[in-house]
Amino acid sequence: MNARIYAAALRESLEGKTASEQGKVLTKFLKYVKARRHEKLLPGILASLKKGGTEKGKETLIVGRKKDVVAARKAAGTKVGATIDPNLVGGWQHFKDGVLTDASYKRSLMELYRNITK
Amino acid sequence: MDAIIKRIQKEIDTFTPVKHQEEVGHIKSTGDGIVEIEGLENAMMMEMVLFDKTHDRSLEAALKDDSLTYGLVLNLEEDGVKAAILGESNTVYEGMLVRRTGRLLSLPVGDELIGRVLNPLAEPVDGKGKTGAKTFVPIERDAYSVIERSPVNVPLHTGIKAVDAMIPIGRGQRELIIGDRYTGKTTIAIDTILNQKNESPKNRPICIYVAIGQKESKTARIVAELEEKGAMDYTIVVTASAAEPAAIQYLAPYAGAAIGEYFMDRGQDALVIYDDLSKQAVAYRQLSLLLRRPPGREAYPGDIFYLHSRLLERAAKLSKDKGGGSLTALPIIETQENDVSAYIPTNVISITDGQIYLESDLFNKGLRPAINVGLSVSRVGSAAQTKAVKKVSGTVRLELAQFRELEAFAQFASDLDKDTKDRIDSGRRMTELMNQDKGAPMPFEEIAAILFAAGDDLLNDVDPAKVRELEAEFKTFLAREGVMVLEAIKKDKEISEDSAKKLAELVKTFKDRS
Repeated sequence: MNARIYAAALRESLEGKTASEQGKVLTKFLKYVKARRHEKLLPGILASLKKGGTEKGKETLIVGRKKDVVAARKAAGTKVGATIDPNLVGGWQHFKDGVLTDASYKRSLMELYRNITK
Repeated sequence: MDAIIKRIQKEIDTFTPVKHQEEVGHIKSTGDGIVEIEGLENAMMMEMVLFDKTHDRSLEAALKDDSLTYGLVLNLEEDGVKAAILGESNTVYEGMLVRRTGRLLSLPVGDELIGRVLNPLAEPVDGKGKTGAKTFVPIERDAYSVIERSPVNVPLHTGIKAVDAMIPIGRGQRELIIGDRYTGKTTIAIDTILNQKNESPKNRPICIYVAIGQKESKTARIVAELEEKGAMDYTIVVTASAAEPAAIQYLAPYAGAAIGEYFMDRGQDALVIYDDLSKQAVAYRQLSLLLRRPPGREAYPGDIFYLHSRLLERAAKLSKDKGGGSLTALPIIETQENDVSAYIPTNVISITDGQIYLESDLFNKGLRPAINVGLSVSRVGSAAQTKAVKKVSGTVRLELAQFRELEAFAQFASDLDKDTKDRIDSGRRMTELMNQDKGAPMPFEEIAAILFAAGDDLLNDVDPAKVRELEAEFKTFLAREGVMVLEAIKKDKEISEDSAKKLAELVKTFKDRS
């Protein structure tokens, strides 16, 4: 058993539970870890929990300009909060469940540059 | 001008970039050339992935450095994959975006590669610009089946008397060259490449020299020698030096095989030399340990045999239906202290169709090439030997075997009978005759003529120390007065009665004059 596996198991167990239920799950979890004498892994478990889950479940929306937000949400079919990254120049990128949908100006310009300089 | 600017501005404002969807992951950790990637659940084994350096950079910075760094997926795990970096590790960092390419590792092949020095991804490293090759083939593919092959029956002449006479190699065969360091393994391989210049262009195989884990100075020296002697006109060099990452060294032999298969599939002959597979095994061991695969004997992974067997099985002589092409493999293995019973040497010996065993003791005694004829064998044998050489080399092996037995005996016995003394002297002369200078391969008709002469008492009563000198003189004599006979042997590929008679006359003339 390693910290990452413990963290993944804990994360899954906490999903969809109320605050008090989560508290009970956490108590049982800590009891289990102590019984297995794996307390040394607790810092690693905490670090893994802070890092976040696997690619599954993660969703982000990044836009190049503020005015792209509405169009991006509509095109990506999502209501998640958008981050502005001027590096994209324009357009948007949507990441969900390990799949990246890239409709940024930056990507188009990079592709154009590579085709011209081939 | 304002109107133009406005129009272009309008175009930019209404521009809608095309959506592009792809599976991506992020690097969770990286070190020692291996990256752990989170995501990429549908990645394939041996798939190429692209480490996207441009993702979190500005457009300007991305355009300044648009070089691509690829990785190779080697471990498929529960919540991610592990990949080896095929390039500079210092450009890859934690959190970096990784894109699937959907392609298994492949490389461009074609006639454009001939004369070039490449890395295992077929990128040029000789400073002569892009190769321009456009046909992509996977670096690994299944070997041809039994039905698609035909027996090995066309000789591959190495130009080395000891090899062509006693350990003949055929096109499509795998013949291992094995020995300690500095025993002349690479020399045999390079002389074989140089000797292909004596073949007609139609019959000449394309040679591929794969340098694995070698010093770059050594590879540079080899390339210079090949260039100087005009051998680069039909040779491709694939190099993965000792400075390259383990993943690149691991891939190098497969790249050589893929390039050779391109020519084989077109009905041509190709020769690939893997120098050496011991270093590929060490690189693969390093990769496997870093990928946390369980270590086995000598810390090699469990599939170390398969590493070499699937490589060497790609050498073949194809049937007429498949074009009749061939790929001959000369793998090289370095032993430690002449131990051929070690793990990797025994693995490769069991895969190949014979071995040329070089001993450091023989090398130090001055026998070069330092071939131990007793332990060397070609399992294809005389089926792949030119009739001319076959006719005259029949007794050479036996004579040398008898000499070896008597030689040890002679050191201790003070009184030897005349017959034994004669055999020892004859064996010494034959051993001397098998010596050959480095970088001086001989065409098969010359080898046949010399061995014929040796069998026709040319060397009778000659001091063994003077055999090489006599041989050189005879060669010069043949080049002057035996041109027609040599041409006839070359054309017929055998020593006809007429050629035998003329050769015997030439030997007699030479002996009378000297």
